[in-house]
Amino acid sequence: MKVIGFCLTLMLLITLQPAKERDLPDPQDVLRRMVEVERKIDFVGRRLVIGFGGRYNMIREEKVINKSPDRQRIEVLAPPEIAGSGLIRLGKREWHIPPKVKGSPSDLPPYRLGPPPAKLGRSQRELELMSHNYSMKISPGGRIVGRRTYLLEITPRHKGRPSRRIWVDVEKGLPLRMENYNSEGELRFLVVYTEISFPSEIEEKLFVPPKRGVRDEGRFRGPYSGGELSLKELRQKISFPILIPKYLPDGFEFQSAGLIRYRRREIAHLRYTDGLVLLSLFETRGGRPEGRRGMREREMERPIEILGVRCKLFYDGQLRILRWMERGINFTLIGDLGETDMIKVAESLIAQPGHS
Amino acid sequence: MRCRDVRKKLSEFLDGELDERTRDEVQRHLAICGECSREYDEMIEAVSLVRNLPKLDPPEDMWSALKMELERVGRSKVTWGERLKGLMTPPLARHPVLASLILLIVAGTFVMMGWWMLTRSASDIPEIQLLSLYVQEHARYYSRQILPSDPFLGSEIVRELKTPAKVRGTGSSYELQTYISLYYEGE
Repeated sequence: MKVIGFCLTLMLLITLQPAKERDLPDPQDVLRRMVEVERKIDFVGRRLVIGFGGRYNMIREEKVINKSPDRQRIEVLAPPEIAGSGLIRLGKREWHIPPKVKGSPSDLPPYRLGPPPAKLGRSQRELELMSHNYSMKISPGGRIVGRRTYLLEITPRHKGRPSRRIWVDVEKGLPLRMENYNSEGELRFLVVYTEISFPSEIEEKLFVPPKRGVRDEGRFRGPYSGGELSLKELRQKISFPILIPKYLPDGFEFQSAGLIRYRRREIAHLRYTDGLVLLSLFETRGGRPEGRRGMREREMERPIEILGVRCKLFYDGQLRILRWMERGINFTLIGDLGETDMIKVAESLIAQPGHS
Repeated sequence: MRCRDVRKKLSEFLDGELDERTRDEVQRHLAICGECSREYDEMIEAVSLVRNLPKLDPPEDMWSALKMELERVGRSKVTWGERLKGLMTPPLARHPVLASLILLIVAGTFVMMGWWMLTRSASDIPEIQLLSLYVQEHARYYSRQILPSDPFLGSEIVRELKTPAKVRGTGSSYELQTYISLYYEGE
């Protein structure tokens, strides 16, 4: 009898374990749901947003009021220097509320408080790329602010790429905690909800922008009207020949291009992605030796030589910027990628005919 | 009410032109503030001094003289040419060469500035400004990725490049990216 009992228990345990795993949803489904969650549900929350910089740690506490599909209000609660500031999103329009700190410059530019609610439609290709270049794993994530979560881990299949860990609300699909790691595996960013509620109704008046002390985000777009072009369109519009990298890190592909016109200067912006990381290449004609610079900038940059060309490499603990100038063209490569990949991309540009 | 506000209202207070509430406030302040009270006393003294000046009767022919003068001014018609001449007289009319030279310099400066604005080459943009523009553009497009970048992306570099001269709270660990013009564009 004891043997039978033992066998039955063993069988029960064996059958139960896969059943538990079967309960876990597909990671891609969780991700898809999460991407569009702000367009689908109403919530009011309080969250801590922390950036772990190379030199400074950046922290703020925010109150978020989200009304689907496109109403959002973010209020900064702390630190005191920027408390009272925030933004209101109403469809495609955005208003930034500057801090109320006495003595703040009146023309304070807005600072980022999170992206607008996303639509999955345009990101399908990115999702495909991401699942190809990153492994996605899901597991029970415990409780955050009293709510059950899944832990979604996105880890790179190639070296020198960042990774993410996201705790997603089981019932609502809202990311309650997110951790971003850089290409060296160091934690660079953390956002975590400390309070969350899902009220049945959120008052519309919360999204009415105050008349005074508020500026429309549109005013700050200024010259940055890169837009999204194909390579062919960019070549037709720009007045100098642009170079395309012959080498791209594994899993990367061309995403889009843009033409920025800034103070009579034409700047080509080529964007590449592996689904998660964005790699930018800027090319512009001309330039001049750098003028007066701060000590800190000098500390941040490192001169290197690639195929005999003098380059400068900036690194802030997350972003790498590689700059060089050759034959009158100023090249700048930006991405949160490992140094090796950045240098290989630069080599593929420098080695091209027409480029010494 | 602060001293500064009270002192602005003393004259009206003295003339009895304040509303009841403000008058009470001023009165309360004067009762506790020695300096304002002193200023008020001096004001009263000056007013009473003026009020106590002896009254003088005007000379008998003053009114007829005034009337005659008014009639004379009314009769004289000044032409536009005369008015312009009046305006031109000192010092331009007296020194036409100097006037032309000044005019030439001012006009030349404007022309030169306009020419410089139109013809200055793209290379006049400081490299630091370009680099911060690149970082901002990169961050803007990163924010449109399926998993957007964190909101602090690039802020440290931009902060290093664009540290403003006068930032309240500089040095605080909280100062963060407050003054960084990174933003998102609505879809």
